Amino acid sequence: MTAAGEPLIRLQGIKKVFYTDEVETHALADVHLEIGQGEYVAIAGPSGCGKTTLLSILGLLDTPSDGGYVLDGRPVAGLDASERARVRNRQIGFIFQAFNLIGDLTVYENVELPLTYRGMSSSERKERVHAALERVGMAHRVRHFPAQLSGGQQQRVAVARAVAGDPAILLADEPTGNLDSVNGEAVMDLLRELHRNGATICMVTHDPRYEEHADRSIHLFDGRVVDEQTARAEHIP
Amino acid sequence: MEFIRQDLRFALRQLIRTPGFALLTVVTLALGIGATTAIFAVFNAALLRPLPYPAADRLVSLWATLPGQPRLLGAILDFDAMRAQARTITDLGVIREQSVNITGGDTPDRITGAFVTANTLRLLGVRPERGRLILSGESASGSSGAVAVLSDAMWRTRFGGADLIGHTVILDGAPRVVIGIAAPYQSPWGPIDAWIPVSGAPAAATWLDRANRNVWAVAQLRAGVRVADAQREFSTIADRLAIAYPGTNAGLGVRLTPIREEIVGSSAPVLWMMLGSIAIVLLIACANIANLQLVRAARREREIAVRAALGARRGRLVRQLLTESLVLAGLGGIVGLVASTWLTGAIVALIPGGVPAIGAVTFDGRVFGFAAIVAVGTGLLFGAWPALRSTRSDLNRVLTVRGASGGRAATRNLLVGAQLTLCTVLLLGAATLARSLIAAEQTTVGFDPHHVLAGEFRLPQAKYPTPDVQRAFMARALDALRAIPGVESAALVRSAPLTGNFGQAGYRIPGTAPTAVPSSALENDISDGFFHTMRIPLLAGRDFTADDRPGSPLVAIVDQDFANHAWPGQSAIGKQIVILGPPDQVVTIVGLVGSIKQRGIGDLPMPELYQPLRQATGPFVSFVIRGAGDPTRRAPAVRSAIWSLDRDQPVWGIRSIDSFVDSNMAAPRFAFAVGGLFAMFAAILALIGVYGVMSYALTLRTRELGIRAALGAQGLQLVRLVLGEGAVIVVTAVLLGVAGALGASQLFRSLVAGAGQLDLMTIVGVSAGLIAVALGTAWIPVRRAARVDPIIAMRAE
Repeated sequence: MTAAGEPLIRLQGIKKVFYTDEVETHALADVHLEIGQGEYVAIAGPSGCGKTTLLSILGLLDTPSDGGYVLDGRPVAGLDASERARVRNRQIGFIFQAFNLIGDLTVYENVELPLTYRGMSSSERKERVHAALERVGMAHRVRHFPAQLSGGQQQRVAVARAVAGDPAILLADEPTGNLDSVNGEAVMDLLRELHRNGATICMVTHDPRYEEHADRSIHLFDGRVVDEQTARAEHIP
Repeated sequence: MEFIRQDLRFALRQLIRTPGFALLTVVTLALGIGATTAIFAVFNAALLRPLPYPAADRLVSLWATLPGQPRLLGAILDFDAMRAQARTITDLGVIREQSVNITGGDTPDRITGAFVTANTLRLLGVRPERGRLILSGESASGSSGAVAVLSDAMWRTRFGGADLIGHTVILDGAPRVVIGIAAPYQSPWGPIDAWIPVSGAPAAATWLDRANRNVWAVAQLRAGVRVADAQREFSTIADRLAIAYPGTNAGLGVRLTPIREEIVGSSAPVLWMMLGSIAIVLLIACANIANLQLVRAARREREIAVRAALGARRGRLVRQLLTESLVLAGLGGIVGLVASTWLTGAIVALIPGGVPAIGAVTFDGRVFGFAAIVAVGTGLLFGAWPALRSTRSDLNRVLTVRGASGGRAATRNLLVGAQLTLCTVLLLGAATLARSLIAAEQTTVGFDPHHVLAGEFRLPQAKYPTPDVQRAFMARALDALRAIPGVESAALVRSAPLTGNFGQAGYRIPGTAPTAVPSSALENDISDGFFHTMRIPLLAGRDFTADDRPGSPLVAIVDQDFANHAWPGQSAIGKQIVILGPPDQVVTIVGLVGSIKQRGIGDLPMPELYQPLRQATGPFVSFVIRGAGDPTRRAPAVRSAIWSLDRDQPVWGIRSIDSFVDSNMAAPRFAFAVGGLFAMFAAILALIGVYGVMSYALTLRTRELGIRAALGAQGLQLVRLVLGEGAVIVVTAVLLGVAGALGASQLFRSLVAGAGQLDLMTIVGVSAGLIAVALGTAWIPVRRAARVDPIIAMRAE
């Protein structure tokens, strides 16, 4: 658990270098970042600036080439694959641009999936899945398969899956990227609602409109944090 | 437990959602597992199932040997001496199986008798169902041996299960008291109808002469004694006997054979070959399914990555994917097991001479266990690699970048290459068998086997006790056979060619010093007209005539091989040889004939000499008759002709010589059929693999090909580009297969009797053919890809 006054996430000097055909690509260079409990942070920047790489490192989908990463008071940069999976399962909720629901599973089973990996009892899973689906307004579609849902509905299910396990932080990668403006707004409203209820959110976006929903915006360019803005007061809960 | 249920549920759902893949995989596995299990069931019955004999693992057979002749009958006195001197055995008994005439019913019949000592029955575990077995006193020399123990089958079929104990049956013309009925039983040498004391064998008194070798033996090794140890001791005893009795035992040895080897004989290598071949086919099938799994895994890459992102550990994901493979393998195993019950029957029916096993081929716990292990093993084999590979994805790339992965091309190429390599080995094996078969089919037997009917009879000693009486009957029998309407010619012969009967004799050239190991030749006794009937060419001299009779000068006719061996470059006519006895006989060569295949089509040539039947009469004889049309339709007339002379004389084994030729060809034909079938399966599976890999690889390269087309590449240039890459895999795999086949050819030839050498023409032909067909198969998707529309292809990404 995070000690009083400690940020939920602390990145120190994070670097990420990709090597392809003897060419070094510095995706992230000396990134320092702190995200507090209950904060809503947007990561913005032009295409190729390292937003998604940063989010992948935050989500333990990727490992930094150098630097330190403390999540909820625990250093996680050097964890092995199995431990990283455990941390992802318990402390991180993902919302992807492409939804990434599993087509062969029903809405209920998709939301239930991270809970089964946690070894949770069936009755508790059921309770949590229904609660999560209620929060996103999809409780009436539990038996449907993703292909039977609209894009907006799929993303709401994805949000339900992300929050069902009560993670420490929600990581959203362009959550509206595959949606039309109406559905995009609905998903953003949903995230705002979750934030109001105490969720910590870190969202990658290149859309300035959605950036404004966050408490704080971090701008990347060529793998470096070049600007950091705090949102207007009315957005602070 | 709940995880397993979840994995199973999801696995089944996956299969239902991809019915084509599931069906293809289950059918492939069912065929592979079914065929493997069926062959294993036969293998199990022949080589693994415990034998129904007491201490069967310590039971051995004993046969006399001479250099180059590993399986000869031995003398009772020699085996008696071995029994007395050997310390490595607990007991030893002798046995001689021989046809026995049974008369006294509606028709005379020929049954299989076993002349044995009392302890033979104990060693072989024969049990009395009624009455008792033979006592030691009844089989000892000097006893009349006028008793018999009938088999349960004989008792029921011929005597209807009547109370026979104490009653008399007529065997070989002599009355014998039935003292017992044996419980259902099968000896290592096949079914026995009657057990008779060795003292009651025809001319038993003459068997008590070291020169008369009429029996073989069974012995039980002491616990802990290895066959090799016992063999050493028995060889030492045989050497001592050779020194003590040089006139009869010079060069004579003894060979001990474990009883299972005795039963399975030369079939064991064929069974191993079948099991090995089907294992290769199964491996190829696994490689094919693994390829399909890899393609599926590539399509499911995102799903697997999502699961990992949501916290599934790698072990959990591997287990999930393996569960899907094991469900497929389980379904394939169940269907395969059902199929194998049918396949087993087909295989048993196809094996020439039947399965060399005691009892029927059944599905016992070992076979079910084998099927289960094979099913799980194949599931792990085709599932493990794809599962491990597909759970090693870069999550960041998969979850954040659109598009399919092409990163497993090397793995798929490796798998399809392995399939082609194994396929080449099997195809070359099958081609070798085919060439051997063609060579065997083209082998000339040295005579005309068409339109010839053969059969045999044995005159009972009690009724025809002297050579004169036997000779008289045979002369009348030959006249009666020649009088059958439609018969062009007929002759009598001790051992008709290719029927499995043959005799051997030692000989030396007069004036040469006796050698420790005398020269040996096939020896046959024939009536006049034999060469004419069989269309064996008389190359020099004359045929036997009526003047070649007892009391007249002893004569012989030799074949070309004999003449070449005994008198190279000289005429054989007028030469003399000493046929070793006892007693030794000096005979004059009066004729030279062409060499024939006496023992079997595949056998190496062996010199043969013929003596006039009238100068070497015995109770057993065969006949050959030639006439136009189907020879078998004369079988009733043959029986009538013999029965017109003696109503109680059975005649058996009436078959056309053509059918014996077919029987001789059955083994190579079967080996080719099995090898060819497996190779064909392997080729089909490998070609499916080539097609699948090329199709998928080209799907992944659609964009690249589109760009090339947009830049002006012609269709033919694209075909050359892609096909060239495929050709590298195909040619490399086939070359590796050729190397593998060359490496395995020695082993292959040792396993399959008659398999020929792997020659350059076969290698080039098979390799070129496989490469052409594989590239032809690959060309189908390549041609399609080469017609790619640049716009569509580039939009596809």
